[in-house]
Amino acid sequence: MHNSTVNGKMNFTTLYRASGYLFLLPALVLFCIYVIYPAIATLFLSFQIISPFGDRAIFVGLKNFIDLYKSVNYHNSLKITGIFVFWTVLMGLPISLLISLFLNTSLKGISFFRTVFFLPLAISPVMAGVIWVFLLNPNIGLLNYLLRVIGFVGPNWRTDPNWALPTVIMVTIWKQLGFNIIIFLAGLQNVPLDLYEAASIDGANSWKKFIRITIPMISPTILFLTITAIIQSFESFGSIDVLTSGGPANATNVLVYSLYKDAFVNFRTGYASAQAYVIFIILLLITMFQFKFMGKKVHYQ
Amino acid sequence: MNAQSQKRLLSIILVIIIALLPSTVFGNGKVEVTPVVQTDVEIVEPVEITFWYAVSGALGDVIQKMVTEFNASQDKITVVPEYVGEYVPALNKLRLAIQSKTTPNIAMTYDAGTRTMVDSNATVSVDALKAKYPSVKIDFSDYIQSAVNYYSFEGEQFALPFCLSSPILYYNKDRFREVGLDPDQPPKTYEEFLAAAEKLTDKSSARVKYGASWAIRSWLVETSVATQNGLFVDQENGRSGRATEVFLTEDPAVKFISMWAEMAKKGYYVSPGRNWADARNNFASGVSAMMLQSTAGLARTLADIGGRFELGTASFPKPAGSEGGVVYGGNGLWVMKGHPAVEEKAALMFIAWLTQPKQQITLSVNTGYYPLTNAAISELTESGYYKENPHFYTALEQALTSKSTPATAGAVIGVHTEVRNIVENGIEEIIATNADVKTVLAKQKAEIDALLAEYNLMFK
Repeated sequence: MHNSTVNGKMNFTTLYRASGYLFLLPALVLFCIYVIYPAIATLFLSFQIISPFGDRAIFVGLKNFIDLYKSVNYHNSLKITGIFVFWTVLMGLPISLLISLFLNTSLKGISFFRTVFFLPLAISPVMAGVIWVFLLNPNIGLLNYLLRVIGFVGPNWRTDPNWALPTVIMVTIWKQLGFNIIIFLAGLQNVPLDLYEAASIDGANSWKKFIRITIPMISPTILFLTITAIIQSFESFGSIDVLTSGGPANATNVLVYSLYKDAFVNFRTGYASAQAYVIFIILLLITMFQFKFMGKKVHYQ
Repeated sequence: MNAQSQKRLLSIILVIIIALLPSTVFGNGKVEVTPVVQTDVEIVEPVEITFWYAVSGALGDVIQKMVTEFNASQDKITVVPEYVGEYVPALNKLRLAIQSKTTPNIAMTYDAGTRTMVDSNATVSVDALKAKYPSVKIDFSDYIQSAVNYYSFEGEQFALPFCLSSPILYYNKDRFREVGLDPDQPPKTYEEFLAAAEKLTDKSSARVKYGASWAIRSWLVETSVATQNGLFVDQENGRSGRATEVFLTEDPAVKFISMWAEMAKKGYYVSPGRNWADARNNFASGVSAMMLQSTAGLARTLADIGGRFELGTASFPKPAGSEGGVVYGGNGLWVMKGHPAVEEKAALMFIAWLTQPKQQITLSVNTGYYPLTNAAISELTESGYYKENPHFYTALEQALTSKSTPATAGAVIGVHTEVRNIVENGIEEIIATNADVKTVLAKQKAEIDALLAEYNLMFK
């Protein structure tokens, strides 16, 4: 069975193994065309300066990367993205978990609430942005109207540089709620009930049960959602484009938005390609770090 | 195959892919030149040409209407209009089309894309078309010369000036009366503008009324510089050569932006962000009493006001004694290379039709964009249109009294969009942090100059 050929003819094992590759082939081809090739092509592009319409290109080595390293605007983007991702994940996940705990009960009409909280997932980021543009209008928007009713003057959420980033963070958390809640719910419902029963018998209160049973048992879910939330926040684009267009004064110019502007508004393909690689490397490092350190704390059944 | 040779096979495949890639990605720097035999052609069979336009809403409707009219007026040419997104996405789409050789016959590009289009070498200039197809009757001698100059370089006219506009001052006459200002004496200088804004600001209730609110757009800075007969960039505004320096720290720009900063600092001005529509909302809803905005938004603004208050319009304010004029914004139409001669001729014929007074008038009265020929202007004047709609004349008067100088010709920059973005970032920073105007402008200037240098590297 170890020889791939018997008497010069292929035997069953070889055919079996080869058929595996055949099944993989379509996916592999698509993967090469749409993922591998663009990734490598982008690398080549990042070493060039290219004219807006692509008719001229000159090779400049690492100039684009060096310019990024020196660029104050890019440092700002890095900082903004860090703050954005940090708060979106740090506030978004606990809020989602809380809502999931509530939705995990079997109160009457709970399925209505499950649908309502799931809804943000069903609309596109752009749509979410557009809805919030109306809600956040400083003069005729619902949010400031409600604030006025209780006696506060709401700020210019989208155009005040101090409020733009918090606003975008809030909208992104809202948008990610649906996905996080669904996954948390699934995780919560997989926790064996007899664990809780055993704890009750031992005299544990709700808080102890939460800390000692729930959290450890859903730790794989938490790890998974942390990674996806971080990556999704990093890639956040649609809502930011609609809400603030990266402004005001670069207050919400996250890495992906900066890349978009340089590639598709300013037509600086080479410079944008270099930014794409920086994002790739950052995400790679974050994911490696997460698996290494958080993986240890995760309890798998 | 065992694991070893499987890995080897995969690595070989990857190496081949990687080795082949450079040939597809590195440009060879050459531009294809199709040999052209300059003979006129006869359009025998009906021909279809594609027209990409980049405006929506009421303006998009006007264009659709005009195209339908053109198609109905003759039976040889059918223009197929297609809305390809707003100005920036449209230019993107055009860029990709050029690279994949799937360009339309006619493309609409905004003012900031002009140098990019010329440098792209992907268009056939209007003058070249006129020379190729002399049987098409098209004449630009009746056009407002500055409009044609905007889209011309080194004596060659590249595109059709299509929707042209300039900013004007919109003001709320009722509010003027309420605070004791003369509604027929709008502010003309920066000092008067600032003083009016102060009077018009009312912070007595939670619903603050601001003196003014206008969009944070570099175009307004460029206009202010031109009204003071200043250049925005060197090389005669980028027309006698590629720009290498932006004049953001010179008097004209500094004066305007300082006035803007002071108005914001004192609370007479509220920022609507960069969106023209948000500025218009502030004005039409009464949150602000004055607005600097394009005349192209006139029809829309009137509709939004809906008769709630009396609108006033006036020339863009400028320092006392300034001798300059306004610059143009808007868009132009470009004929793209790489199409058969009959299609090029058809495109030229459509363009010729658009230059007729009737078409100019249709466009202008439905939007606020200028009629660009003297014939159209005379017709509108004689029919009494401007008497009944004086606001539509405000910007036109501004344009007609502008002298033709390099300053009023408007800046032409290969990376105009990005330059505008940097200027706008600077203004946002000044307004948000009350930073020193000259310091911030110097910082932005450094960034822009570096950008211009990088762009010019392409053309050494």
